[in-house]
Amino acid sequence: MAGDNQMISLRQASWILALDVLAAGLFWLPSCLGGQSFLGMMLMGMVVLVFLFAYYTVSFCWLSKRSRRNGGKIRKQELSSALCIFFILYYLAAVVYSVHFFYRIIEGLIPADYSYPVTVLFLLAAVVYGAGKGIEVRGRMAELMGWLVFVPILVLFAAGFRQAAGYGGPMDPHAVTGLQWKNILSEGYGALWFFFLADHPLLLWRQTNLESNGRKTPVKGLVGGCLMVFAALALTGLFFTPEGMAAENQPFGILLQMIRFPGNFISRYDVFFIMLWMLSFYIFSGGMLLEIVELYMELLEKAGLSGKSDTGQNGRNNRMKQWTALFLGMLIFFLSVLANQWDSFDAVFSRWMLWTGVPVCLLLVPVGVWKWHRVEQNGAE
Amino acid sequence: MGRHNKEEQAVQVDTCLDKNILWITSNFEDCADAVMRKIIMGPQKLGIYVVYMDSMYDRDLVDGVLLKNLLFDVNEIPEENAGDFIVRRCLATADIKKEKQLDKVVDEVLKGNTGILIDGMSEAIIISSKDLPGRGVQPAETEVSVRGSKESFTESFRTNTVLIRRRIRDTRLKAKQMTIGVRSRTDVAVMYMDDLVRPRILEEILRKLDSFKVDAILDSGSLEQLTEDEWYSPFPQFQATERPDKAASALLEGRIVLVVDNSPMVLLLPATFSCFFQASDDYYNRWDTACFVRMLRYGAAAAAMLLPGLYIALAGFHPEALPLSFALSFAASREGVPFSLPLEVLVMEIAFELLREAGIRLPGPMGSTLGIVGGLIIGQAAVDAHIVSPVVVIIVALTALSAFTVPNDLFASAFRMMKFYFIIAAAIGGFAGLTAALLTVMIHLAGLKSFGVPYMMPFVSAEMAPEGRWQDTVVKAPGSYMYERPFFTKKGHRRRLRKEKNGR
Repeated sequence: MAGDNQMISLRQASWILALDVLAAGLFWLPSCLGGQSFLGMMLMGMVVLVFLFAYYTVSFCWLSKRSRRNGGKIRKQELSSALCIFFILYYLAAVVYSVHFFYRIIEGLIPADYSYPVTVLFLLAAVVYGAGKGIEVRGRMAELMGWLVFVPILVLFAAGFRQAAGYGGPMDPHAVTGLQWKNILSEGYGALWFFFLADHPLLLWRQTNLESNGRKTPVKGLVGGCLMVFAALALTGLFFTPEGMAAENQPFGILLQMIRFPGNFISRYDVFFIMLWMLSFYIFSGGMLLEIVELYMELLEKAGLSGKSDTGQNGRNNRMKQWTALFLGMLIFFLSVLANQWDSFDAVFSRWMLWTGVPVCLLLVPVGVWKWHRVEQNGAE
Repeated sequence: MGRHNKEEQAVQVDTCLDKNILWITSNFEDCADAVMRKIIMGPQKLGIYVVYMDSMYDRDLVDGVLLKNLLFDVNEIPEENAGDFIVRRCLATADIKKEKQLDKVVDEVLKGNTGILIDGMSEAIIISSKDLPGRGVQPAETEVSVRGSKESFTESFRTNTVLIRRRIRDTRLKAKQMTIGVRSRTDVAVMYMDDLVRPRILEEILRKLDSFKVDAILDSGSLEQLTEDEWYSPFPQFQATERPDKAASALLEGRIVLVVDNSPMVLLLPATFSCFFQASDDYYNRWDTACFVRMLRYGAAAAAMLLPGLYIALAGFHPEALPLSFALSFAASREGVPFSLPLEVLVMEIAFELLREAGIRLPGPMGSTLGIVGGLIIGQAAVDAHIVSPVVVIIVALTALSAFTVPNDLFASAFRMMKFYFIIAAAIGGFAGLTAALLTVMIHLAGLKSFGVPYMMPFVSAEMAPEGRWQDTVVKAPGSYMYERPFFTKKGHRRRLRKEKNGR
C-alpha cells in the first residue's frame, strides 16, 4: 500500500514547513525584534515572515513549472557533487548551531540544572534516530506532531491574548513614532537568517510528491506557521512592550511563565510548552541531519559505493543510513561541545549566514534550474 | 523406509495392498493409538485396509456406518474397477477424497480422518471423520462484551472457521487452507473477502507463510513471530482476537484473518495503531457512549505510558511547576522514604508487574486473594513502613488501571513496557529526557508498518485513503453515518452503507 519510495506528500511537506517556521520563530523573532515601536516591531516581523513565505512559495512554483515543462525530468536530476558537499557542510554547521541554540533556551528558561551533555544528547538521540529512518518517517512525524504542538499553542495564545486584554495593553499599538523603514528592512533581514537553517526548497521539493495534488506549493503550512509566529510576536509585544523585550534574553520564554489558564492548577506552564516547542524543534534540527545523511548517500551512489534505492538494495542502504546518522550525531555532539566553549561562535556564525549563507540559499533555486535547463539543452543538441 | 525425511520423493500408493500395508505399519510402528485393520470384502475376497487414530475419529460414522456397510451390506463387487465401485456405491458419506501419495494418507489419518486402501487401486480413499476432543464454544475471557455476542474461538480449526462463516454468508468469503509445520502439520486458513482485500497484502502474507520451514506451529503467536517484519518492536503488527464478531468485522473491512488449528486466537492483519483501541461494544452501544469510551482509552493509553515518568519529571526536576500546597504535600509524603524518587517508582512498578504475573498463574479462587494481599497488605504495609510514599502507590495504581482500559492485551503490554523506558528517561533528564523518549517512541511508531500499511494511519498519510478516515479513530461516527469502509479496503470498494431515502 505504501512503498518505500522516499517521497513525502504535499500535506506532509506543509506540516514540515509549519513546524520549521514555528520552531525557528517562536523564540527567535521576539528575541531579535525588541527595541522598536510596537508597530515597527510588528512590521518587521511581517516583513520577515512574508519574505519567508514568498521565498518558499516562489521556489516551489518555479521548480514545479520547470519540471512540468520538461516532463518531470528536473525532479530526477541529481545534484552536482559540489552542491552536495556545500549542503553537507552548510547543514553540519547549521545543526551544530541549532543544538547550541536549543541548549541556551533550556538553560535560560528552565530552573532545573540540566548539564550541557545531557540536554544535547537527549535531543541528538531523537534527531539521529529519526535521520536514520528517512524522509517518509519525517513526514509522518510532522503530521503527528503538527496537532500535538499547534493545538496547545493555540490554546496558549488564546489564554495569553485574553490576559493581555485584561491588562489593558501596555502599549498603544497604533503608535507610529519611531517607524523607520530602513531599520525595518535591515533589522528584518538580520532576523531572517535563522529561518534559512531549515529545509531548503530545492531539497524539500525533490522529496515531495506533487503529482497527486492540484496544488503545487505547501501554502497552508507556511501560512499556519507564519501566523503562529506573528501571534507570538504580537503577544510578547503586548505583554512586555518592545523596550521590555529588548531587556530580556528570551522574552517569549518569560511570557510562558506569566500566562495563566482558567483553574490555574499548575503554577508554571513554561516547562510544558518548552517541551512542546522541543517537539517542533526536532523537525527543525532533525531535517538538517536527515539532509546530510541523504546527500551523503547520494554522493556514495555517484561514487558507486552504495546501491541505488530502486534496485532492491534498500536493506543495505537503510543500514548505511542508520550508521551514518549515528556517526554524524557523535560528530555533531563533539562539535557542539567545542562551539559551546567558543565565545565568538554565535557572532561568527550569524555573520557568515547573513553575508554568505542567506544569499547563496536564495540564489540556489534559480541557479539550479538554469543549470539543469542548460544541461538538457546541451543534451538535446 | 520412512517418511520423516521430507526431501525424499513422495511415496505413491501401490496397487499391491500388501506393499502399502508394509509401508504404513512401518511408519506407525510403536504408535499404540493407531488402529489398522485388514478387511476381506464380498465373495471375491477383495482386501481393504482401514487406518485411523483412536479417539480422533467419529466412531459412529466409521464403525457404525462405513465399516458395517462394507462388511455386511456389500454382496457383489465387479472384478474391474472395484475401488471405484466401492467409492460410488458403498461409502455412505459425501465428504470423500482420493489420495495418490501414502505420506499424505498418513497426514490425513493424523488429522483424524480415516484412510482406506483397496487392493488393486492406486489411490487411497480419505474419509473425513474428524472428531477431535476439545472444549465447546465458551464466553470470551479477555475481550468481554457487555452487549454483543459472548462466543469466543476454540482450539478446533473447523469450529473457528464455522463461527466466522455463519456471520458472513457470502461466497466471496474465501478460505485458503495450508499446512505449516514439518512435524506438527498445523492447518492454517487465510480468510479474506475476495472483492475487498488488497491483492498486494494477500500476496505478501501468502509469500511470508511460504517463506519458512519450522518444526511446529503450536499457536497463532508462533506464526505471528515468524511472519512479522519488525520483531524487535514492542508494538504488535498483528491483531489477535478471540471474538468471532471482531474477526468477521475485520474481514468486512478488507482485512485478512489467519485461523490456526489448536489456537483460540485468530490473527487479523494489517493492524494499525487505531485498530487496537476498537472494542466490539463500540459498535453495539450508542455512539456518544462509544465516543466517550474511545477517547478515554486513548487518554488512558497515554497515561499508562507517561504518568510515572511525568511524576518523576515534575516532582523530581520541576517542583516549581506545581502549586505550592501540592509541592509541599508531595515533599511531606516522601518524608522518611530512603529511596530516591525514580527508584521508588521503579520498585513499585516492578512489584505491580510481579503481582500481575503471579495473578495470571494462580487458579481462580486464589486470584482474588492475591488482589487483597497485594493491594491492601503489601501496598499499605509498604507505605506504613516508609518504603514508598502514598503518592507513588496512587500513581502506580492509576497507571495499572489505565493499562487495563486498552482492549487488546498485547497492545497494552507494549505501553506497560514503554513505561519503564520513560521512567528511566525522566529519571536521567527530567522533562527533556521525557520529551526525547516520547520523540523516539513516536519516530518508531511513525516508521512502523504492518504489511505495507503505515502503523499510524489514518493519523498520517491519510491522502492514501481519504474517505471516511476519521469516522472510527479517536471518536466514532454514529452507525448511520459510517458510509465508508476504512483504508484497508481495495480502492473502488469503500462504500458500505447506502441509504435509499436520501439517495446516497
